[in-house]
Amino acid sequence: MEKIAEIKNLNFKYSQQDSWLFHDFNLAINRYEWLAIIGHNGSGKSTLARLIDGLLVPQAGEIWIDQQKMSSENVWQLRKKIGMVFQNPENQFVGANVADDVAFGLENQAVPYEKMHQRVAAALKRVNMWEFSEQEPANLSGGQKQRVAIAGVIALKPKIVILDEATSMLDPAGRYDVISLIKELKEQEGLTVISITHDIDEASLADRVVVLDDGKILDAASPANVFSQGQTLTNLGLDVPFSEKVKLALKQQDVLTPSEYYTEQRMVDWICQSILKK
Amino acid sequence: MNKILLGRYLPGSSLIHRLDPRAKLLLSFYFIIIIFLANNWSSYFLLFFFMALTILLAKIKIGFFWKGVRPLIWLILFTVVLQIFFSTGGTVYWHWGILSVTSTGLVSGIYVFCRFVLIIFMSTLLTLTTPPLEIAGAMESLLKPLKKVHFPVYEVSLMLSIALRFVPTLMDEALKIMNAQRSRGVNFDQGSLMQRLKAVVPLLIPLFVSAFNRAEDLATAMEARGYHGGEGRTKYRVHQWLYHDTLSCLAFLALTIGMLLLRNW
Amino acid sequence: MDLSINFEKVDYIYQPNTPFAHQALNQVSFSLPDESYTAIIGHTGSGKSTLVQHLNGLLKPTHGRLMVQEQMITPQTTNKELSDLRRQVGVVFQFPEAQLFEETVLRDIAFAPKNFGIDEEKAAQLAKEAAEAVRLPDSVLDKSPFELSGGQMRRVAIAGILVMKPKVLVLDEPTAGLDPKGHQEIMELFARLKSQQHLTVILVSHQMDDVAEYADQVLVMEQGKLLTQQTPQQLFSQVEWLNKHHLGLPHATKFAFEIEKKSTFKFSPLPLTVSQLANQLANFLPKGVSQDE
Repeated sequence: MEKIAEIKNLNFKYSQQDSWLFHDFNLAINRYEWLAIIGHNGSGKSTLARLIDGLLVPQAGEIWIDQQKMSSENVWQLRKKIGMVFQNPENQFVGANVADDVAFGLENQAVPYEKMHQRVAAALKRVNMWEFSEQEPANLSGGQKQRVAIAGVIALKPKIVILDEATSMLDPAGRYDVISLIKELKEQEGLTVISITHDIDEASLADRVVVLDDGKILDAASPANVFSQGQTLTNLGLDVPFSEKVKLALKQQDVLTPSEYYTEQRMVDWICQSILKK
Repeated sequence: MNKILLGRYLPGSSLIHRLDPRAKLLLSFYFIIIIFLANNWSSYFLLFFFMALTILLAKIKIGFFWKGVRPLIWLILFTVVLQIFFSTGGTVYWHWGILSVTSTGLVSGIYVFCRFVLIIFMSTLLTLTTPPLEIAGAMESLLKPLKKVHFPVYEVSLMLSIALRFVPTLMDEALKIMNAQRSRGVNFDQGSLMQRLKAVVPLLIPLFVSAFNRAEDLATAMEARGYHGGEGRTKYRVHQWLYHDTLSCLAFLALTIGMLLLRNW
Repeated sequence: MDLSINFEKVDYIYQPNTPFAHQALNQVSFSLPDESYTAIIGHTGSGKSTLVQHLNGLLKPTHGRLMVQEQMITPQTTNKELSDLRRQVGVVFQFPEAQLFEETVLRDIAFAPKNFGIDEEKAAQLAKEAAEAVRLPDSVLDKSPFELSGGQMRRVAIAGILVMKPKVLVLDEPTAGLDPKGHQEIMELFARLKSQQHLTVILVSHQMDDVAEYADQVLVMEQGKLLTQQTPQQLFSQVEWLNKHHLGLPHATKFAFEIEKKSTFKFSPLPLTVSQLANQLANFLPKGVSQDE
């Protein structure tokens, strides 16, 4: 499979740290993949996202984006291929109103006036925020601000979108909204999505889940594979899918449960069939 | 919830809203200057008439303007009282030491009050009908000639617009922190001056910490979106000087002539 | 049972008589018994936070009155009369770590008692106890609160409220932004404190799983009005009503409804938590030890 991003033998620590946060770290991300990175607070997830975008510079190792090795010369060029949505909706809202905020990235890339207006309008319509285009951030909910941030990202037509805990400060409705929007956009715009998250529902949408703990990859596999190790995830301070919680609770009541990972739907079906049999 | 009027834009589509922000900025300043031309009842009447006309054109309720006056009312009254007691000339109504109330004093007190009201009304009109970003943009545009002397016009205006953008955010934050500290027994509005000053510390430190954290987040987000200085950027909002901008300049010209005619020389 | 909190037709209007006037609470009446655990749910802007701020007198009603721990609050009540109430009602705001400011963790926790006139030594003693109650390791007490991890900062802030030994504990989305483990630890901490210290707890939350797990009654707010006050059991069985008001179900309840839809199995009572769900299902499912062990 073709790689869109690759991290090779990366070493990184913050200046105030004594030991490496990432030591000889390797990770490859496939084109058009949805990759979820999960791990507890402080496991290095967000740092990894900033390294991929060139916002932090590793002490050693290589980062490749779209077949090019990142260096101080081409970092601005490569960054154009990557869009990031951050955790705090308020703190990434640069513009005084919705349209200005979406335009900010386009202004930085010196997109001509006519084209910029087209792209801002198109992006805002795409995320259903066009009618709010003249609104100030103070009048928007957290979910709406994140949709504006996503519009700002897709207006730049990136190849990779990184969601850095983009839904963690939203209420359930806002969270659902943002995740379904990303799902839709990924298909239509042919994006590669890297989502850094605690939210197990968000992670279950991924093609591949990477479990990160103290800068090390503990597991990198399909959601089904990763989620079937419910106890390991719980021990790491992570959530497990609801079907696994049901399974665990049933197991404690001595019920003979299936050993592989079942989605919620499949778990419901399994229970219904088992009730019939008995 | 806590709406502070300064820098609060009321979206609208009136003629005043649609004026070029550069025109609005310049004309508001100009109005404030010609207020000082007024020195009799008829010239003040003309100013108020003109002010009322623009407020009508902006389609904004007068209540919003009084809200702009309210926070400054003590300063205004103080100045008016000084004016009344320390002016001399005309009929003396009351007299005590160097203090006296005279007809001239009363009149100039009223004039001072009128000036304050007019200045506040006009600047309130500017901020109510112009988004902060457009004011910042207009300033940038007007300061452009300074680029020749290597003044960082673009950076300063971006700084200004971001500062304005975060005013409501930090106001909300301050309110939240105040509530949290009041819940921990802090009294912001009681006690001696010393106690009150001390009570500000638990508000200011968290507010600074939060502002710094936000600034760091914002800087990261801006960098991620490709911001690397003002050079070589295009602009989403380009101001266009239109027919009604010229028209409003003419209106101000007429006002100036009227003022010069009505004024006592 | 004694009443801890009683609202009588409480209205709250922000900036009354101005162009910005906004009615945030509209004729809200309810009462909560001592040692109850009440969840308040509703969308952003429904009036939850305004309601919460009445509980320790940060806001006073525009009309109507309320009683909290035998303190009557009316529109005329002065701030002075409310000082004692602030001690009895501890409020943990959303992202409470925003309130930290002192040089050390211990001093920050001791801030409230000192404000209420308790001497330095006793305040430090109380602070140590509160730190222990939230399971902060001793090693952090002399550190600056700003050096700690997010989860630890949250605990320091919570200790800074518990140190007042309040009778009523108000929690405004206390786990927002924490990871799943941190979330669970904090929620269990409150449940433990409630039973140990006989607290009345009020929880504002979007997380129906928490409401189901911990609350014994639920207030539903919408546009400043109190829609209903019910037990979680009653509330979560009315799926259509909840849908109409765009409110969710606990995960276990949703799961149970799915099973009922696809089989003849009927749950009674409706399960609200995973363990309730498993308890009812277990006897109808094959027993034995799964192959993988």
